[in-house]
Amino acid sequence: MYNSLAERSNATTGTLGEIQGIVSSGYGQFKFMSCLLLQFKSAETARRSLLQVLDQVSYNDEPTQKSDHRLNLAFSWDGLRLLNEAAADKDAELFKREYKEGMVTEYRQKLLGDLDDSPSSPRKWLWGQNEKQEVHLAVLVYEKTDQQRENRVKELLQTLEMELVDRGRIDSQELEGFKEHFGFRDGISQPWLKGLSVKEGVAADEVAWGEVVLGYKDNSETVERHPEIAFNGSYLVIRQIEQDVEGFWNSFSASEGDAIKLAAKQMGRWPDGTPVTLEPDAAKGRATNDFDYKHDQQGINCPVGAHVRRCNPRTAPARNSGKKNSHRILRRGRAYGPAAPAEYYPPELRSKVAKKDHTQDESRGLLFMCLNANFERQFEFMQRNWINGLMGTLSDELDPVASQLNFDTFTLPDKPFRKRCPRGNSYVKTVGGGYFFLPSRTALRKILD
Amino acid sequence: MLTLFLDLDPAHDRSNVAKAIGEFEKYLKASADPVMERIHFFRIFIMPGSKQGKDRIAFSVVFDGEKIDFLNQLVAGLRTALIPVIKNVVGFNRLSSKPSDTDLAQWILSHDHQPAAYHVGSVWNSLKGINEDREVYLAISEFLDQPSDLAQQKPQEIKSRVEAMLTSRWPNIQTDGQQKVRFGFELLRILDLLLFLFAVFLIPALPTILIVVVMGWALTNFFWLVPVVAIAIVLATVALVRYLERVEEDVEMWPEDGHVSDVVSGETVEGQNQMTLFVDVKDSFARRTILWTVLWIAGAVSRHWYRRGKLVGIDTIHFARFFLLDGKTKMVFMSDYDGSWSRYLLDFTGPGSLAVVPIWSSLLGCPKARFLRWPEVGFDERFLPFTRCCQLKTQCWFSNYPKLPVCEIKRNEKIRDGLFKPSTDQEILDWLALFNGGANV
Repeated sequence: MYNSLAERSNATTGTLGEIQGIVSSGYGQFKFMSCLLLQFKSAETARRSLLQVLDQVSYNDEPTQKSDHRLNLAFSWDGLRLLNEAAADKDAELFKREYKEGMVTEYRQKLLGDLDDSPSSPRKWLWGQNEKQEVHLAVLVYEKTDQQRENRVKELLQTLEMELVDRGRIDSQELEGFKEHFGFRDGISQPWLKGLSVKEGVAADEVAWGEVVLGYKDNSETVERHPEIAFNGSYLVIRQIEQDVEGFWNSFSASEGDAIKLAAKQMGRWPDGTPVTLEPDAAKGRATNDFDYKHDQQGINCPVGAHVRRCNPRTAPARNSGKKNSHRILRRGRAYGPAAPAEYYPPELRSKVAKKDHTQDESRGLLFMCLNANFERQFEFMQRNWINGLMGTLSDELDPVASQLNFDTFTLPDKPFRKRCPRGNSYVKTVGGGYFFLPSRTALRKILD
Repeated sequence: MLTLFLDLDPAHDRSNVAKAIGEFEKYLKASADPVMERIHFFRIFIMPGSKQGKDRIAFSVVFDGEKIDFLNQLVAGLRTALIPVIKNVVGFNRLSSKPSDTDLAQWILSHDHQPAAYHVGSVWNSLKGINEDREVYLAISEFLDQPSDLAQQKPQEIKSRVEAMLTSRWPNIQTDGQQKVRFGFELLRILDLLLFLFAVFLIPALPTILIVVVMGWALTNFFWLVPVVAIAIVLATVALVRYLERVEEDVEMWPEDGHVSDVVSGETVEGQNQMTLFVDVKDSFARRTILWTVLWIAGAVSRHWYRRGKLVGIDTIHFARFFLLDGKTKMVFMSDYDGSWSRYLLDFTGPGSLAVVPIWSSLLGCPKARFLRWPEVGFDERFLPFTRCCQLKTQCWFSNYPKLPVCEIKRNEKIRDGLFKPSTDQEILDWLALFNGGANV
């Protein structure tokens, strides 16, 4: 091992096999995914059964075709402490406070917008409330077919001597065209880590390893404080976000003008992923991330308050971004639940959304997952300041797509002067969530020792 | 602005004082007294003891108008809630048992503490002006939102209709009372700038005169000596700063979880927030002098250069002030800002580092910097936790416009300034673009 933090922070090669595979890839080749949220019956049974699945955990050095599935594990603070109190408590102060406190505290609810008097109140969550259902372990299962996933989940639940928490199985099946339920292509804007990420993106999206993996220098040349056991690990955020697809599209049919164009302006991209700042009039099949807003400061093409502009202001004024790329998160989310009925969408979009498994009854949404090294500077900063905070001079508005809080209008810059679109209630709500720690290969063994 | 740091009488129970402050906050927020039309921000907090070991209570209020006039109005209007708080401080009993409003106002004024540096985000904007500008913005917004053929009109016609609408609503809107106030402000500012430059000139001039006197040189040699001495002073200062930075102990400070939970409890999810820091200055005469000098320069730079809503790229500060206490061994920082603590503090290490690092790096526990300007590696990671360590809970905090950010105050001002004057078509389009929501107003 390394003698000093400085020495280890420079290490790159040879450590790939230590880092869990979800860091380097979103496993796009595996269309079926399940997130299992488990509670330990006892530390002993948990440890014993986890040792049996240890060989199935996927790491970054695994050849792409070696196995026909992927599996990753992440622990909540309570889970980690139950499993190995000594390992967790050694330098416990070096674990991030957010991780130890969890997603549900009075302050964090304010930060994240999960307010008690709102539909996203943790009291109404399906899982993740502190008192009712402690989640100790998140198991992420990726398979190529539905049947394979069923078999794998069944096998895992039999092997792991743990309780699946109520509503603690969230299934995802890729929607056509890598879209999320509102019908927009998702996952285009993504930071990448040189030498680690399977796919390299545009230069502007490159971030230092330390932005995601603990023990390495981040973009400001700093190594985040972490305990020894967290080296080569990362922090995983999981939030189950329910989407009201019908309400989202109905809100545009009530407005004047082309519903898809209005929705694209609020999203910041056309449904096919084309950025509206590059193509303000129509989708052109350019799902690129190689653009900025220098030419569009007033938001005539892409409104200042649009979702993708808020969540990544790029070279917009420094006031909104602090240091460049210092608030990026590695997104690993997937759509969950069945596709929405085609009639929810505008006629022009119906042929482009999923054609089967339509159902009105079941809930659907985004199983938001992201990796970061510093909750306060990355995930929580984005959620608090960009999605639910002031952007430009729009103090009366929030993120029109991702904010779970209500607001009345959305400003659409135009010439000679702007228009304002009325809004209904928010179209998303949080129904579960938690903070987890994704340990390295070595750490996982130590935890189970 | 008026700020008091008063020793608490040890006989009084701290929790009761905190309770009285809480009651004062409730009273303030519910009050309709005319004095409320002058108050921008008000805060009261309990802070750790002075050298004598007594806890202190601090009051800080930002208001419009003359101090004594304001104080008389404040005491008359809020006396009922104020007395239960300030009766707990040392020296209050020297007043009569029922002091008159005038005596009380004078007593408060006699304890006023001058800031070492003070930044105002929205210079020239009185509370009345802020509220009026906001009303005008909302009226125009509503007008633009109404279904009409306005968007099809030429720019001159659009502006003309907007102005007609405003005039019908506020017949006197064209009378701009703020211009006269600004003229007065400008005169004072220029005088202040001249004093600052004169003081800067004195720094090399006085040692030069000393040299001339001691060495008995001819007076003609005086002037070339001034820049030489100035450069020598600068180089010596830089060397001293670097020496201190290298030899001083690097004290790391990480907050306890309980302390963080306590101070974050007052942070709001929308609109403005506040921060109060109480921190030790690094323990040497040189450091205290450096910090005092940096704050003196920072105050002047803020007054004369950063007067349009931004302080070195940070555009979320309404009011920020620094105080040096206990023989300059302690610093108190109070700030009223927009948005979240994390965004504010990350602005400090990002665009605002030019202003923040030279000040903060003289504080005990702050990560080190080079030449007072460039943060050492690891600065960012330690800066936020260090600041949390020094943060005090503010028992009372009041803002008269809690959801109005500085950038919108400045935007509303620009919108109002653009009215009722001849404009080209392009100027009108630029003016209408102020409603787009962009940050660059």
